[in-house]
Formats: sequence, C-alpha cells, structure tokens
Amino acid sequence: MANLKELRDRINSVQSTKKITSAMKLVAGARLKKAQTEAESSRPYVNKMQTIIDNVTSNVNMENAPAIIKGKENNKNHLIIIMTSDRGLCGGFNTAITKLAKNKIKNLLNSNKIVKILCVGKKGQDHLKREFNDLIIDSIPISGQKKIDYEFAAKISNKILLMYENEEFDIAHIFFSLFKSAIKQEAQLKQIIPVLEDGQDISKKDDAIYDYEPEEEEVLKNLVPQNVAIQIFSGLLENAAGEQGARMTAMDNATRNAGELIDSLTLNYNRSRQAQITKELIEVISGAEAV
Amino acid sequence: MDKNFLFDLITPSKNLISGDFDMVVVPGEEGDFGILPNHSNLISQIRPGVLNTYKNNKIDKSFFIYSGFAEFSNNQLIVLSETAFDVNDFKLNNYKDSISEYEKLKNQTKVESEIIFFEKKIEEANTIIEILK
Repeated sequence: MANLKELRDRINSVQSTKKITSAMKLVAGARLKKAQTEAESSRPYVNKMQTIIDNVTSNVNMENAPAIIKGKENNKNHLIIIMTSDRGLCGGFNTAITKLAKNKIKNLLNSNKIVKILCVGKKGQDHLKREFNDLIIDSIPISGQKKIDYEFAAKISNKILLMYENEEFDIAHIFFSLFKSAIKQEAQLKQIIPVLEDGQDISKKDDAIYDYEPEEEEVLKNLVPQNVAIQIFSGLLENAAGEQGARMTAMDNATRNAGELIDSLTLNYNRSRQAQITKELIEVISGAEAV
Repeated sequence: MDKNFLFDLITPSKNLISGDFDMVVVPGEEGDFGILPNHSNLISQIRPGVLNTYKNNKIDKSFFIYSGFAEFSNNQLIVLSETAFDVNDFKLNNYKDSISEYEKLKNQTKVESEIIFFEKKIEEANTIIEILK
C-alpha cells in the first residue's frame, strides 16, 4: 500500500490540474462563440467569390489565359502553406492538419518536385521541423496580431503573390481546418494558385450569360489576387474557430479524466487509511491481550 | 414586373447591407452605372467611389467602396468589396493618422512584400481622403 502522504500529494496535484483544464475549457467555450461567428460571417464572401470565378473561367478563352489561372506547363516548384494554431493543448487539431500536409509533401518529394513550406502559426513549424526543416522558408506567428483581420491575410497573400511573380513557385496549396462544429473539424487541402486545378471541368455550369465590364480577361486577372487573400483569410478564421472548438473538447475530456483519476486515488487513499487504522487497532488489542 | 431587387454589400468580415431597393448606382471601372430591377446579367469591376442606394427615388444609403466586384443575376445584385464602409462613418483624421502609421511601419521594415503592402495601404487611404473630403 502506497504511503498516505504520497497519495494525498497526488490527489492535490490532480485536483489543481483539473482546475486548470476546466478553466481552459470555459475560456475556450467563450472564445469559440466569437470565433465561430467570425468564421461564419466570412463564408458568404468566399462562396460568392468562387461563383464569380467559376462563371468567369467558364466564359474565358483559356488558351490566352495568364499562367496564374491555367497553370504552367512544368509544375516543378510547389509552395505548401500550412495554417495551424500558435498554441497547443487543443487535442488533435494541429496534428490533423500537419498529417495531411506531410502526406502531400512526401508525395511531391517522391515525384521529384521541389517543395517550399510556409508556416502560418507556430505549431506547423514545430510539427514539421524534424522531417522537413530545410524546406521551411518562413514561419509567420499569429499571436502577434491583436485580432485576425483581413489586413493580416492581405499581408500574407501579398507575400505569396510576390513570390509567384519572382517565379519562386508554380503551384500553391493551403492547408487548414474547416470548422464543422465544436467537436468536428476537418483538415482541408485547397489549391489557390493557379486558379484552375489540373483536369478541372470548366464547361459552363449554368446557362447565365454575363456582360463583363471590363473584358473577361481583365476581370479575371484582378479576381485572382483577391481570391488568394480571401482564401487565406477564411482559412485563418476557420482555424481560429476550430482551434477553440478542439481545445474545448480536449479540455472537457481532460477534466473528466482528472475527475476519474481523483475518484480512484481517493478510493485508494481511504483504503490505505483504513488498513492503517485496522493495523494499529490490531496492535493495541494484541498488546492488551498479551498483558 | 418587379419594382425592386435584392442588394447585398459583402465585405470579408461582414454583410454591410442586405435589402430590397429601387435602384443602386455602382461606381464601375468604366464609369458609374445604375442598376434597376431586371437588369441583364452583369459582372463588373469596381473603382474607388461612392455607391448610392435608392428607395422611392431618394438616396437611402451611401457607401464608399475601394475595390471589388459587382455581380447582377436573377434580380439580385451582389457587391463584393475588401474595403467598404458607410460614408457617414468616414473620419478624415482617422485616415490621416493611419497614413502616418503606415509610413512609419513602411520605414521600419526591410521586407520587400511588406513595403509593397504598406504602399498600397497608403495609396488606399489617400484615395479615400481625396474622394470623401
């Protein structure tokens, strides 16, 4: 039987852990609401943007389209943008994103492509540096921002577009987690540059005929940079909501586990205590009998 | 025939306005254009300017939009803009402050992409001041 003092200390330490996890759960719950509203309010813009792009691409003569839309002949250089959270203690949230990204990176490397990695959020770099440290070109922390606003996303997209202009990559993919509910987030992979994926069906989706002002090509050229920015913005917001949701669930589990541990430790403690009392009684009684 | 149509002005972070209007005048890339009910399908780029919404032949609300796209189809007008706000919310001093703020940030950084970004922001603020003052 374990020492009583040791058991008491153990119980105390688990109890304080439980206090922390339950506090974190409450904080995450409060933040989740706000982050969720923000993520959801960005969706109409993203969806509408996609509809306009679909419409325009199906109306433009693709042979003359710029490379940023239809892609280049040789797709050797890949840019992988991994968006994760800055902090841990949120269950499998970051692991799910980096796992998906790792698979993609391995596939690309196996087919002799050149891969560059841009991490947005500190955890991405933490997870990837053991295997792909040489490939990481930059890591942008999120926590320096007071709030995830469009400007932050625009800054990142500016950086990416400049890299594209300097021909540092041909294809860019983003990885983030789509917020479904507090207990469900789905790691996602999206191609942002070029706009059209290989083999994507660009035939007309509806029969609507549009007037364009200015010409289709011109409109399309200006749509692309905005699309990159908004994709990153929505990825960041979805991530922020997902992170809080994942943390809330993880901390809820941790609190429950701590509770169970405390119960079993307390039972153990009481048993030991009683065993000791019994032992002392037996000693007293047998001592009295001996007299 | 419909007397009005649905108009949405959407920015990345929120839906600024959504409702039925008689007419909306949009600052298009190649000149302002008025949208009336049952307009033909249209996708247009936007130049910096003021967008007016009309109800009962009177201006109902005015918004400043910096850039973006307008799409009209199925009797619904959707304007997507990265920078848009109600003209009544415009405060000259805020933009003057933000210009000097961006200037300061621009001089601090050495990263090329950030310099370009801040230059764009300064240009944006200057255009806003010029149009709305």
